[in-house]
Amino acid sequence: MKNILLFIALTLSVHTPLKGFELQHIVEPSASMISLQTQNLCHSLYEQKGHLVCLPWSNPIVDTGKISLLAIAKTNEKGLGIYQRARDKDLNQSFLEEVFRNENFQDISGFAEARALYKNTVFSIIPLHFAAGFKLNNPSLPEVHFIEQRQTQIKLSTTWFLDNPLTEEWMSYFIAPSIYHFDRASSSGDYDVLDSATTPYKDLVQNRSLKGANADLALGWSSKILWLPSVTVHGYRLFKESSDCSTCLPTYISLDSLNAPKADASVSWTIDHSFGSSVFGAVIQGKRLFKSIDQDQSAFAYIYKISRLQSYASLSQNQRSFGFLFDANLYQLGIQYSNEIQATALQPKRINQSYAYTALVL
Amino acid sequence: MNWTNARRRSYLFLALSLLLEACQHKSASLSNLEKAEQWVNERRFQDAITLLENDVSKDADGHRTLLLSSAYAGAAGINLIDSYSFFSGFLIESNSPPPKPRKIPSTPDKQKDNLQYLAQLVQAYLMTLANESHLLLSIPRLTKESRPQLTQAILTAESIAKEQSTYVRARQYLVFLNLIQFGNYMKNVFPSVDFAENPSAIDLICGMEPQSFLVNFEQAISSFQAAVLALGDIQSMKPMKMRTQIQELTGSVESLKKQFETDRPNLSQISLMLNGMQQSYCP
Repeated sequence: MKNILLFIALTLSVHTPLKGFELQHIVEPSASMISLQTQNLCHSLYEQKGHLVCLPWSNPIVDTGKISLLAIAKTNEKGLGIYQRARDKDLNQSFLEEVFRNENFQDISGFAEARALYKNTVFSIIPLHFAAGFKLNNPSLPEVHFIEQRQTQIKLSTTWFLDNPLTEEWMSYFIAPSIYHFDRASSSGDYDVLDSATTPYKDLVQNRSLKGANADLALGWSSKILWLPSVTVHGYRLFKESSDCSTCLPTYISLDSLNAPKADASVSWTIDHSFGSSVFGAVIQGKRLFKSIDQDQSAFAYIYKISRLQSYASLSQNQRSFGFLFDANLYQLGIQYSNEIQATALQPKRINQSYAYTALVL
Repeated sequence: MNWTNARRRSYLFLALSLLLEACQHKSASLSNLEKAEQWVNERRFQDAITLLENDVSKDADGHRTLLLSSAYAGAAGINLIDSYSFFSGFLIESNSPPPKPRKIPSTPDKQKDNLQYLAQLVQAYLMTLANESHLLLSIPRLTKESRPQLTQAILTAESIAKEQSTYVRARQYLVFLNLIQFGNYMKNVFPSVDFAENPSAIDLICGMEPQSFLVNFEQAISSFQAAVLALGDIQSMKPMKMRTQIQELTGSVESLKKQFETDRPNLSQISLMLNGMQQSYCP
């Protein structure tokens, strides 16, 4: 155990060079209100013999069947303001100068989902997941870089608890696979204003589409006692998706963080107070199934839960956030404020983003 | 040391490592190119120029050179956002109906009097220019001090070789920069003409200042020809349209340039010719 911890700590101290302009802080289709608030430390909270633990899947375990509708979106009032003014053709020189100087990068993402839950199994349909980012460069010779992706998913997830008689007083082992089918379409463009005057728009934009299947897998243990942490390793998109376009050019903004395999590992502890419970821990993000460590997104997170109200705080190099979640029986409402920056030259300054969540349980 | 202590220390060590990593100042260092891009976005053109001029790393695709060229242009006060309609107006058919073309005299026959023939060519050129004078409106007026920056921007963009992947973009940019150069020289030729009022050829003749004509006219024509040359390079690579009126203007410029080169009129002859034109047309 000690060796493992030392290995993890030593691995973290080795700096991995960053590459490309990968769009980060995206709301992924596997995200939950809690995973966004805790930067993937927890995907859901579960009470195990009165002890609150972090779990790596988004769906609460329920004894009886239920259906829930969920919507999560990441918005940015400045981005919406730019869109609004562009739509109303209310653009002037000083506004454009400000866009180039301070707001030349924007991104949005989110999804809507319908879930049918029965005991440990969930069937879910995501009719729309979207992610988009744009970057403007060089007011003297304006360049436009954008990428947007839409997809639908049908997913089946389940969770098995594997109790070992020797350790069942302390912990429950679990394994949680998810398989899903996706249908994805994306568009991207990297051109300058002169290109837009000399080339038809359809020739400036690359369109791609891909259908396929993939799987996620989470495994670890959930602790039942104070001193022992809950530990999870979570692999996303375990199978590399075949490229749909051999002749496509590389894009300035990449959505690899959304489409390529990746993994995270987390440890978390729970402390029960007189009023409520706290969960805290750390999560290490790995790129390409831990081929390298993504230090910028490895994070600490803290959760305080009392009755139906949960509050969150999380901290990583590139994102610091806090937020709240109100969980009534029939609905959930959440808000998160985040101060974040992309890891690369995409974004010169930190920006404030807000994430809004709502879920309805039928 | 018992097991519990060892475990606690391991946890503490892990927590401290993570904390140090998380609180570390953002270390993603930007390359010179990325830094220069950021400065150009912030309109710190001079800083970007200094950085890019001193960067001796290989510029395989020409991206750095093109950025440097645009930084020079930015330092000269040129902003493509403002001048976009000017550029696109030269290149593509406009959806809005073009201004009603005025009668352009047929190409004059070469007469014995070369100077008279030249005057007719100038007249034909000014009439064609008057048809397109609305395009000169959106050209930023450069100060005398910023002219060298524009020249530097043009020279820098011209240095991008055909093998480099930014070549086509560089040629497009050269079209734009040379047209800016042309527009500025032309505005200098007609210091008292208000291009917002859609001047006629007569307005141009009467607003022309012979002395400014002598200083600026040849340079204006050279810039226009350089723009047309760069445009020709792009046209051979990608399908593009040049507006009919611009083709007329190009033809007019070429005849004029040819005549200047053939006759090589001296300054006093040109002054005489311009004064003669003004006496004929201006009250």
